[in-house]
Amino acid sequence: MSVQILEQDLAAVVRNETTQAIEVMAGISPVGTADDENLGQEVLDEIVATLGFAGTNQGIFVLSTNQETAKTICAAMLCMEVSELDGLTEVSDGVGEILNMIAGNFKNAWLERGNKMEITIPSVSFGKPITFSTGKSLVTGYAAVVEYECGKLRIEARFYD
Amino acid sequence: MSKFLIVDDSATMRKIIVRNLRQAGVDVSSVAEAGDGIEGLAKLEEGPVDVILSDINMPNMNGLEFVAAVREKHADGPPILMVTTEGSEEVVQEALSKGANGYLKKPFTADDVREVIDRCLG
Repeated sequence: MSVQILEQDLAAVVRNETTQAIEVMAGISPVGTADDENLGQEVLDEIVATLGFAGTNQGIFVLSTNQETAKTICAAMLCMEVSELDGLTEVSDGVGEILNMIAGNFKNAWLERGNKMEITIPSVSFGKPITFSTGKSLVTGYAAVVEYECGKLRIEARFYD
Repeated sequence: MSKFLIVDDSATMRKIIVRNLRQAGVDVSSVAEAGDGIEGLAKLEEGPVDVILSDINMPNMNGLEFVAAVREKHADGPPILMVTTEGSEEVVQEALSKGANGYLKKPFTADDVREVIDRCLG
């Protein structure tokens, strides 16, 4: 079964909530965004945050980026220099919070369409490729790469059957 | 000078809230922090606070349960502001019905914080 791309309005929510979360909390504006049609693949990046959801559908949100980009964004959120960050603890927390905002605000849009959704607390991993195995088929999804002067990050929403 | 209690499972978000309070020109004399509602209740036992800011989605005891527990012991105050991504009318009304006084939606700016604090504290 081929994966359907999430309808345009909801795809825009995913994209816009990503850029807004970082713009409002870190004061960093994107220099470009692009849709990524590679859905449901193994996630290869230095920092990967995931957050699950259930309800009308079940699935996950995945936010991935490299350490330098994550550190720059998180330091800006905290009004600190990158060198002042407490190792990867604050980076992990900050990336998780950004994903929490993206998913939480997507949930609001999803609920307005008469759907149900409960989301989990985000979890963040470092340095390893992540593969998700649910025993279910990926039916709908959307991914975008957002580019900043400090690097790129990728947001993906996956809906399973 | 106001004493704040910030209840959020994200240490980074707690720091961001404090930063925004100070950027907004709010008079912050001291800040107590808690990682969930249970810790928040324990902090309140240590001494009174002037304002509470609480997330909703937290482990162990979520923000709605925390608000209800606080109001059971402190029906008339301190003011409680929910700081959360939850924006559904249902959740907002539930928080207010349990005794929350206001609502700050993530992501937020220092101006957003100032507006909610001013509205809550009059």
